[in-house]
Amino acid sequence: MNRQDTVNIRKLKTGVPGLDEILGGGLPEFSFNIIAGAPGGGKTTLAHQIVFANATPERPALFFTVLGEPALKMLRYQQQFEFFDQAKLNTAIRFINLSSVVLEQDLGAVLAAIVKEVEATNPGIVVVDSFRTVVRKVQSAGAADTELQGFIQRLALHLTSWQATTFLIGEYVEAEVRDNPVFTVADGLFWLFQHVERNSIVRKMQVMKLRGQASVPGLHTFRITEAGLQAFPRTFGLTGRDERTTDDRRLSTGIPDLDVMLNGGIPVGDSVLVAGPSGTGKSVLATQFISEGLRQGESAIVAVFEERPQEYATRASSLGMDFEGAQKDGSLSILYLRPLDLSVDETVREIIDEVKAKGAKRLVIDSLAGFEMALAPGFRTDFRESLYRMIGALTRIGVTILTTVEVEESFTELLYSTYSISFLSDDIIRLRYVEIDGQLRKVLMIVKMRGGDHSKDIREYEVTPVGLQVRDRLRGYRGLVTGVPEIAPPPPGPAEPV
Amino acid sequence: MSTSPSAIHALARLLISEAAAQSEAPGTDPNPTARACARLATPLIKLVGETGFASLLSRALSIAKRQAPLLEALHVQPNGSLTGFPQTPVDTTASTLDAGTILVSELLGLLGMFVGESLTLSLVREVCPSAWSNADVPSTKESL
Repeated sequence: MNRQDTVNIRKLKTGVPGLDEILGGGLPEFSFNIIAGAPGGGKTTLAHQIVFANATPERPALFFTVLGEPALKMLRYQQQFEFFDQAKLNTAIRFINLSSVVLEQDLGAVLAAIVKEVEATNPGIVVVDSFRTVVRKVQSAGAADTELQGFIQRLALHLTSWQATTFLIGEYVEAEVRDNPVFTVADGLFWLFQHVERNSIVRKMQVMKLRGQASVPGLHTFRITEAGLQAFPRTFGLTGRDERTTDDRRLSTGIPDLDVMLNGGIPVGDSVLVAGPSGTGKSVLATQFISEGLRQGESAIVAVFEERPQEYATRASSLGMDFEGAQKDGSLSILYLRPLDLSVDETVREIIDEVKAKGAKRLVIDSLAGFEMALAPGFRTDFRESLYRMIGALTRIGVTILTTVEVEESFTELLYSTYSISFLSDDIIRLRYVEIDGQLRKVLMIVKMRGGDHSKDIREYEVTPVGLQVRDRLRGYRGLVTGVPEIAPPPPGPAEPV
Repeated sequence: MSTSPSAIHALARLLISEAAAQSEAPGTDPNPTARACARLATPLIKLVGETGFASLLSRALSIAKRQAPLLEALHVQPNGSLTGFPQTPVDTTASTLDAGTILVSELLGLLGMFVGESLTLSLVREVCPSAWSNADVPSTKESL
């Protein structure tokens, strides 16, 4: 049998930005799914979003409410979400209360009530909220596990046969996954987690099981706003782009002598780390890199965390660079990303969306310390991993990234980054202070270039009113990288005849 | 919700007047207010359950009693039915029908406050199709 003979499973849109990508394209049609998690995790909102995205008068959605949140309150609160379309109520979406059947009758009656409504309305989507309350009621009545399993199997079989995509909502803890008949029968198991870490709420979701298609594994951050749930896939919307760019050009930094040191500039698609202590001109160098790109007609993005876009543009203006004009004509975006409890995946998503929208070729992240500080404490553990994925994803599509990082000046060693992310960088430019002749002077060096050869010189530079200007190689000293060099002894002359 | 009391009142009056004009069926309460509430009970119990409907109706009755002392004798049963009407003869005087209209208005107002005007109108029209053609009742696209 070749692939053309296989059954084609249509995928339904979830209506949740980012979730379709996590699911591998959408929800498998006619699947029988569980949405699980603790109270307040967003389960009902997720189900509503799916329902409103798919229900039509021809294939309506049936939303059975049981002993959980009363429909009266649920509808009142859910109406506050932007996706809630009043016009669909009672036509494309029907709410049916099953509480009395569950309370007063047995599982057979519950199944019969659901089947009756399904056969009468021909729904495309069926939701039972909360299915856990049905299970609890049955278990408290002393029903055998086999009875419950039989009920779930009959329910799943009937709803699938009637071509409905089903969602059972339940308050479960992870420990219940094992040996639970509900989870065994389910085609899809979507788990919503939330926990409070210091002052921030961290929400994550996981597709624990999904038959018939490959979903993106692992935990994905999500947020609940007035628009409903929004998921931030760990792939950042850049799946299926494994091939690295074949562009072998080098980009000018806007500093001619630095370009020479870089053997012609920064290779397209490289990730460059500019590391140095405070005041060494990292942001100035980044600004010149962006300005040079704009001058050459390349769109650019700057993600700033420590100063506002206006301040950034004003500083560029003081260096003779017109960032305000570039923002107006759309070739430059300065993103200020500093809300509280920001997740790293949300931040990265914003950057990537902007890069894609602008078709940007150059990206500056200024700075890593500011980026990390803008994140909710609970997300900081994900920082390196997310950064790694973002840099990998963007550089593969040919974006050249320059990241600044502040390092504490040590006079005994040459640090590249306190974040241990130098392995993420193709190229490292190190700026540092040195004490020479009673003056604090600045030197720069190319520490690493993955793309090949580079200058080995340690060169002095100055931050001038027009930007960084690289001076000559510092000769006659040894120990420059320590910051406290000594005058090197003169090279030995020709040996005198004995 | 941009509730218009006059629109809700018109809808309630329509339900009560239709209930008053309805011929008596054996086993049903002959009182127009009881009939109108029983008519609404069908879709509302399906939506919010028996307990939910009984809670809404008892709250509506409590508010309505302040405006219409004629309703003082009425009670809401756990299944959502109204009791306490005088047995015979059925009172269809204007003041009694007005009191019933006040009760139904309060019920619809409460419902609209919780589930929204669009769903409220849609549920009422399910049991009272003539509401579609009644000039005093807004269409679903208009606010109540």
